[in-house]
Amino acid sequence: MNKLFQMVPLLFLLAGCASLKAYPDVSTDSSAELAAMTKYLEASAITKYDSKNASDRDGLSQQDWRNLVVNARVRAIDIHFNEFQQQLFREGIGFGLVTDWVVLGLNAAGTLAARGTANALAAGSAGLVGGKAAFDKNIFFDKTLPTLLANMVAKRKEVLVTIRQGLGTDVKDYPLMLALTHLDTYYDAGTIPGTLTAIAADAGATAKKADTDLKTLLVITAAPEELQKRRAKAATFVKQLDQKSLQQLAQSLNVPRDEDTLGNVLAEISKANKTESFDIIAQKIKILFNEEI
Amino acid sequence: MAEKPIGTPGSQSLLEFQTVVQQNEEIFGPLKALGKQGNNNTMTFEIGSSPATPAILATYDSDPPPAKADHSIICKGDCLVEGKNTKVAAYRKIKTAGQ
Repeated sequence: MNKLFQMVPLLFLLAGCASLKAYPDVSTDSSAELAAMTKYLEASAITKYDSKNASDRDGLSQQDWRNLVVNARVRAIDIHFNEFQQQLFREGIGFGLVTDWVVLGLNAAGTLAARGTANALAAGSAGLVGGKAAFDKNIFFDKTLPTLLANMVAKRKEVLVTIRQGLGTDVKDYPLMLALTHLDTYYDAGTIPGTLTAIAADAGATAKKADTDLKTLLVITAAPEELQKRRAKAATFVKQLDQKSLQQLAQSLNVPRDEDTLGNVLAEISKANKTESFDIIAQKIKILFNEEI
Repeated sequence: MAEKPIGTPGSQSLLEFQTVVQQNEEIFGPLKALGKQGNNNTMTFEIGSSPATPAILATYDSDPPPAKADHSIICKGDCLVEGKNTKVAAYRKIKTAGQ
């Protein structure tokens, strides 16, 4: 129990400190690092890549030079992305995230503690949430940006895989120009407009698929009783056909012949809920298999 | 076992919906799932032999659907009956010895 009480001030301290170190100090000087990579970041790196003279590339092959240039640029984008991420954290999301964790911690402690203590902890939790609300000027920062950030990180990894795979291949298959295009995509994936576009595209694709599903769904209604007897008889007959005969029937009915040919033929029978349309199927069965339906 | 999803208008009465289900069990095989997509109800059938007893549909208010004497529940789904969102359960009569 004492340990629980010892935790409370710590939790409040964490919450109260908006500049909480969500990120530890970096042990490298990013500006110096970027400066050291200048020759790979400059436009002249492309000219050197195209040069027929290896000495322009410090004696390196085109492939080795390409890899150095691309890796340096990935690193440069990462440095800027990390700074951007930390800046976002400082501008608001960080406080939201930290407060949420502290609230979770207090609630968990409240669950574990005895009733009196639990009330005190719960009160602390409520106070903290209230305090947070006062700072909650911007819901966008608190709620939306962490999601965007998670999307950015995921999308960047996706693009990085493509780049890394490319670097393992010959310059004919993965020239520097193509790698540079992928680097642009890598950079875009780490931007707010880039990630919003990606999310919108994903949502669009999902909506399009739902729309397609809706359009391709076969919609049928009931058939008259007498016709249903014939349809059931036809279905029973079709189900016992061998693959070759089934393919023949599918072809004559002009239905897709794929891994679901039987389902497609049965769907054609199901669709025929008028005598005239069903008679066409019955006729084909009669012609092909001399079976009266 | 292959399955086939089919749609039927959600504007139909429960009885009409049930007729469509029963007729298509005779064509495809046993009903496996019910649901809705847009203005239509969806029925998924397992392709195979038609069941010995037809599926019977009933509406209910809240999950789980009520048990029905001598019947087993095949599936349940949020469907449309006469255009209204309705919970529908499909039952099948259990065949007892001698039946």
